[in-house]
Amino acid sequence: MRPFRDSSALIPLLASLLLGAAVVGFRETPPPGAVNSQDGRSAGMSPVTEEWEALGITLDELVLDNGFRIVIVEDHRVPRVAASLWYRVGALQEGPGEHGATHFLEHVIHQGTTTIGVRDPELDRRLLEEIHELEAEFLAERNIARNQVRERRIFFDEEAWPTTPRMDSLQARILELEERQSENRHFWQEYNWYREAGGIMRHTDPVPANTGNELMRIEVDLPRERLELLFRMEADRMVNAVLRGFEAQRTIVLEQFLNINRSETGRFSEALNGASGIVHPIYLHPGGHMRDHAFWNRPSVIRMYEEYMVPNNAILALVGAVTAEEILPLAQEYFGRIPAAPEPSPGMDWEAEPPPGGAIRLDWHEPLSPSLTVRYRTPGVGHPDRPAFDLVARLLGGSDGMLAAAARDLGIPSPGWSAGVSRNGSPTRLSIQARPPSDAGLPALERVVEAAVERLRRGEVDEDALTRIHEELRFQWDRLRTHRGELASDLGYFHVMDEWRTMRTFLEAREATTVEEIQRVAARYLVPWNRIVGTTRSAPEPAAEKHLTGGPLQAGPAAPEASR
Amino acid sequence: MTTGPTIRTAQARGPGIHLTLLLGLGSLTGIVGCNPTSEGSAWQAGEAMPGHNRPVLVHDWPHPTALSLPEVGFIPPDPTTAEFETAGGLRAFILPDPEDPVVAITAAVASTRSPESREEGNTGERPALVRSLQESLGERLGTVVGQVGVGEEGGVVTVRVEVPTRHWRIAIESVLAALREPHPHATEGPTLPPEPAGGGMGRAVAELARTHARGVSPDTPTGPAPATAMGALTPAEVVIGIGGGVERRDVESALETFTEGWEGSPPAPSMAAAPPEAEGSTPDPELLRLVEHPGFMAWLALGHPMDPVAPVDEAAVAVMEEVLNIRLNIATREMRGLTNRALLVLPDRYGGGGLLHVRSSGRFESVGPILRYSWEELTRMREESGAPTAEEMSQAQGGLVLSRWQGVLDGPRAAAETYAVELARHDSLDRLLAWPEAVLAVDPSDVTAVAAAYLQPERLTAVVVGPIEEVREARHPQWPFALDEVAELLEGARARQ
Repeated sequence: MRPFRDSSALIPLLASLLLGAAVVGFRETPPPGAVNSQDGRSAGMSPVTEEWEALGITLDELVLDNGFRIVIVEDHRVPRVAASLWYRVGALQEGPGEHGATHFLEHVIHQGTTTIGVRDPELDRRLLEEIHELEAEFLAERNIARNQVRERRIFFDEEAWPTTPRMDSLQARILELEERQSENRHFWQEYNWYREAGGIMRHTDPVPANTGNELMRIEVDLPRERLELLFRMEADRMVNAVLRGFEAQRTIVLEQFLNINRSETGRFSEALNGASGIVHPIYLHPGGHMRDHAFWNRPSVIRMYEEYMVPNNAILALVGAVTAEEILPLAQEYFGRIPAAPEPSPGMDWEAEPPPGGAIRLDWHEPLSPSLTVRYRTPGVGHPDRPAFDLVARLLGGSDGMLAAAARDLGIPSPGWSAGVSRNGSPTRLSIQARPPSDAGLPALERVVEAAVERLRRGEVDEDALTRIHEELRFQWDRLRTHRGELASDLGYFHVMDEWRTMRTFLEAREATTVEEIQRVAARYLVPWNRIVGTTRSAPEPAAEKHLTGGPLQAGPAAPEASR
Repeated sequence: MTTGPTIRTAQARGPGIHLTLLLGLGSLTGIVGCNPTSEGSAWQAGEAMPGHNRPVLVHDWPHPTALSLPEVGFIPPDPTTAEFETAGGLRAFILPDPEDPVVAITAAVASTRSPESREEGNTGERPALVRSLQESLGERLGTVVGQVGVGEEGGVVTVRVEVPTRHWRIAIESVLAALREPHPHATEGPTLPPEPAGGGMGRAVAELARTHARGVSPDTPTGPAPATAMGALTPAEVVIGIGGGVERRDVESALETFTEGWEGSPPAPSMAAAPPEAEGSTPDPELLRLVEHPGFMAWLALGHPMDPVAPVDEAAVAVMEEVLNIRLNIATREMRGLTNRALLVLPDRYGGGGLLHVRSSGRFESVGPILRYSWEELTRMREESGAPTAEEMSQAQGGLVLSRWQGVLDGPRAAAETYAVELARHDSLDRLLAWPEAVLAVDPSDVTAVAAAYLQPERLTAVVVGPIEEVREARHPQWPFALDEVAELLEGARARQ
């Protein structure tokens, strides 16, 4: 468990630090029975078994000498296995100017390996070398251009990617070489082999993966007989991925960005996130920003690949018809052959968010349907106060929640209320939303939120409602633990947020949450200085020109010369 | 109670499925023993790829296609032992799983009871039966913890309820009561017009439908038919699937109790499903329809009306869809980075025809090339030279059988639902259970034949939704294909007809 930043909770802090030390020690010490063999493979290892009786599951953990960790939950009802491979890497590890690079990395590691996805490996190698040499020239040229300019406008055209004639010619040559490389490729090979083997994947595209602020995951559900395919391909991807089709992937990722982030509501959401914090990278969008797409380059992406996609920074969760004894030889043969790497730099905790001096407010000036969003920052998973927020969100939201009740009591027409809390290892947020029929309804809805939150702070919680919510959460857990893919995914998720065993402590703490605990966290976190309010209006005052780019202040050309 | 005579899955199929499937899977040799497409690495031990510090891991792992993997031993839950029929004629599949803390109940009704759902342009509106069930269930289940979903797909209205095992009885009672008595308020329908579905993409597909005066049109809803006008369902119209932590005998007894005295009334003749439209496009639909819509990108649909797929062609069409979807995405996405996805959508194969189309989106300069390369792939699929390779066949067949088919029969909860929906749709499980055999029997020439029959480049219309002037002016630096050239391409195909 990683330490949390909470000066008023010293005892839990010390406790968690001690536990953290124990966990780190566990990671670095080979498990009982592990033996180093000459070729780097582990041998004679025994799984460590944990029975989570109250939660109804039994888990086995294997940790290879190189730090690669596998958690297995046996479920023999169907002869399939859900595999969820997680890396502790995400947008929080990115540097300025390369936001979104982890998501991009996720795409480019799915373009084959040294032995997969290519017809003539020798030709591929020659093209790869030439492309890298050209890109080095390209980056040098771009650095010269960029060092001569500074962006002085308030809003610049993020669509205009700065360039020079020499950059253009180098880029054209790189594109030409990539086209030649394309002719030598087998596209979608790994995905198609998974498909052929019976793989069920989240996406119907060759990248069965997701990236977020603090995670990258690759997930496939396979017939148990075909599980070796996953070990063979994912171990290869971890160490031998060849970043082919770099430029095509750049525009594919850009399309994803445009689809999601450049919708009108997407821009509001992005702005509200940006207003929520000062320095912590959790407030940046994991997709990066428009111009970041131009700056992703091989050296920076390879740096992330080599630092973070290493066995000691990954966990594989397997749920299904398989045993630890069956997995061990596969793990040793494939992932066990990959050397351990230096401990990756954390990225997650570099920036401590200073306490804000007051509520933050964003009244959006582009016309949108009227909406109210009220957020409160919450601690991350692994912090002892976090489990109660799952109940707080449920108490507040829905047609029978405390927000709807407060609206009734105030005589205010109530729209649908939603309340939810994000799950992250880093600090995150409780978010309350409502959509009134007209702009005029917004101030009243803010009063409703304040009234409902005040009731929570005073501990005015209906015990029956809390009992029912506990029952709902237990049911949700029962559904999750009997769904291979969901359970495997959640185990991996807890591990990147904190540690996979935190799933147990989190769920048990949530189950034990009382009205008093809810009142305590509400009084502590649901306070005005920790609040972020966002509103959208159909007729904002003053109305900004409806636009999708830099806004009414935008002016002038965007080339570097313009701002020298 | 006895097993209903209409459930014909049966005795002959049970054990036979397994053998047939295993034999069939033996032929899926893309993974097991297919010739590797490339072997070896250009890199030696200790070398690093350009820009890398970490050396390449030189290994002796078998190529993925050379791995020696065992046969897949999946056997779907046996529907014959799960069948049950009440005295009143309600049919059920009960698949107990003593380890499961959850019970899933799925009731399925052929949507001939919900005729307006088949009307053109009504996908923005919930059928009356769906509304009725949704409202009724919400009231009846009250504070019972669980999840409820009501929807319509492929000509079947489904009610899905999942509850903790201790609530199984009230959940079944509520589902059956909701089916017996339509909710009175559901007749009123919505007071606000529904939002157009799908944003720019939805609009592109709607415009394509409008151009061909057929198929779906998300933003042109028609008025809902009142639920009560449908009359009450009869128990024989309902198939229920129950999977999870229940005891079979208890469920059988509860089904008898909760259906006692339930008679219902058969649907009036006018409520039966409308027959599929005859050859239905307008005499000369537009080649290229351009619709102004602000944004950073454009949405596009390229398609034509498609007649219902003949049952004998279903498996070959499914293989064609798999192969073509991959080809489209390699051509537009992976090779050229024009779009995040180009998706081939075929009409619901149980819905009596509709629109075959490719839907995609992209930056302005990508619109022309996406349309061009999509057109090329659609056309190539019909030609002998474009017949699927052995590798493509094996991958498509593996995907359809080992992934999709297994996925819908993945354990008691999923299988109970699938069996119920299938029986409501076809009055038989034969088609479902024979699906692996049918898919594995498809060969490349079958795929070419169905492509020639169902893909009709001469009928294609392209719709582009976006800032049209910007789309018109934009040219992709590597593949500068303009909208006018798309129109020429489509016109040429039409002229050659």
